[in-house]
Amino acid sequence: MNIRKMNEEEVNNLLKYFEERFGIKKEVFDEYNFYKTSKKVWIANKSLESVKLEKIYLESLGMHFATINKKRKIFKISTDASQIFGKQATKNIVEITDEKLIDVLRGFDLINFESEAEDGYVLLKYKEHILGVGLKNKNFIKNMIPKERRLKT
Amino acid sequence: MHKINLPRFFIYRYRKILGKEVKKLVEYSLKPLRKSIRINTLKISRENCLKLLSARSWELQQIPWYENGFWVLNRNEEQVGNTLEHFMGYFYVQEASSMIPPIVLEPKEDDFILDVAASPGSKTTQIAEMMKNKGCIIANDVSLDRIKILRFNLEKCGVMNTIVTKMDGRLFKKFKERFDKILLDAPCSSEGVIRKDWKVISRWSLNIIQRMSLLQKELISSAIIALKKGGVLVYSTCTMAPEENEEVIDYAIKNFDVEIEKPKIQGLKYREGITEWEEKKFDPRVKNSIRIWPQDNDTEGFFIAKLVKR
Repeated sequence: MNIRKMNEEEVNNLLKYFEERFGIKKEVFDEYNFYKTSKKVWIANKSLESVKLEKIYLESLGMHFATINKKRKIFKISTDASQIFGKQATKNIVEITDEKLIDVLRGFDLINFESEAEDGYVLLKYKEHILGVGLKNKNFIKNMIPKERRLKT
Repeated sequence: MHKINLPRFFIYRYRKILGKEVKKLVEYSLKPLRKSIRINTLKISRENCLKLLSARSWELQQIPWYENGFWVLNRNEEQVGNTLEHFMGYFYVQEASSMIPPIVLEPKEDDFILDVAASPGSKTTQIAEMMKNKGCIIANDVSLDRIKILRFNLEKCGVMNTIVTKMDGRLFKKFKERFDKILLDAPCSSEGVIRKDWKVISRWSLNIIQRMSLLQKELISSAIIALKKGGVLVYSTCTMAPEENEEVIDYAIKNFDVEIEKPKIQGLKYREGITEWEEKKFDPRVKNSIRIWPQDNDTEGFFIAKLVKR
């Protein structure tokens, strides 16, 4: 994996986006470093910074944090990262009802779903649990939970 | 009880160690395994997870050797998997005896740890949990398919202190004296998991055991070289075959400057390592390794040894 540590400007842009979009404060990420491959952003505890292993092929470093949408210059936070850091979000959260929970966990989109969240990426929340991410367009929310993470039956 | 038979030669081998008790081994090897989970405190507190599961009327029984481990008494595999709590990564489905090697390893928050054969990640995620996502774990595996499963599980559990690498474990000797602690949960003939995966028995043969034993000796040699002086290496397998267990530890003791410490595990019934097998006599210190037979705790079978490099 061709990976490099993100520079200060890149990290600032990333965190500014998450603060503007979801209200997640930059300080939430104080303990972490961010790394980048061509399409993805990775988050890792700062303790990994000092590790040096020569001539070894890295498959991953820390956790997949976000996917970069270069055209729209935005980031899609990963399901796993959203479940951890989404708890700190204050806006663009869509509350999932008891009736819709199983559908969301099975990966179904939400059709004719009323929400005050802005169009674009939203966090899907059930009670205190952040389930993952959706892509909202008016009353339609595309379920972005990856297939392999969904409930099977 | 499953309608399969264990090979006569399998029973013959373990009668040499267990005597008449081999009947118990056969009985437990054919009995379905109890379902167990480990609460993932990287994503939720133990108390909150227990509250959620209790609200779903789950009956849980504490696993005595690990605070976050529980047997699930009234749910089958599908019911355990198809829940919000499992989807959220609040618990990990993990066999009770597989929680023991990380306990023996005693990971600390600032440790630099190597997990040589990490996939599917049960023990790696447990180690990360015990380290509170601090320090560093190198989680390695040799197969790309297995690495995909490992990464999936690490991310689902919210692990952020781990670097995943793909390398033949025998090559870690190039990182001489770099790691504080190493877990070598070695590839093995898997006799101890027959009750979870009956296909194991159709693949079982003495050839496999002998081939595995050779590989395990190469892996343990490489791991000892990569371990710092004073560092801890935990060697474990899920098999009962002495060739893959005591014989490997005997090899390590005779070829490297390592001492073997007897692990202390609360609430677990276990037996000493054996010091003789067929014509072979092992170093008496091999006794300090532990054998966990399926019938001892109604779990999978396991073997664990704790080595300290001098």
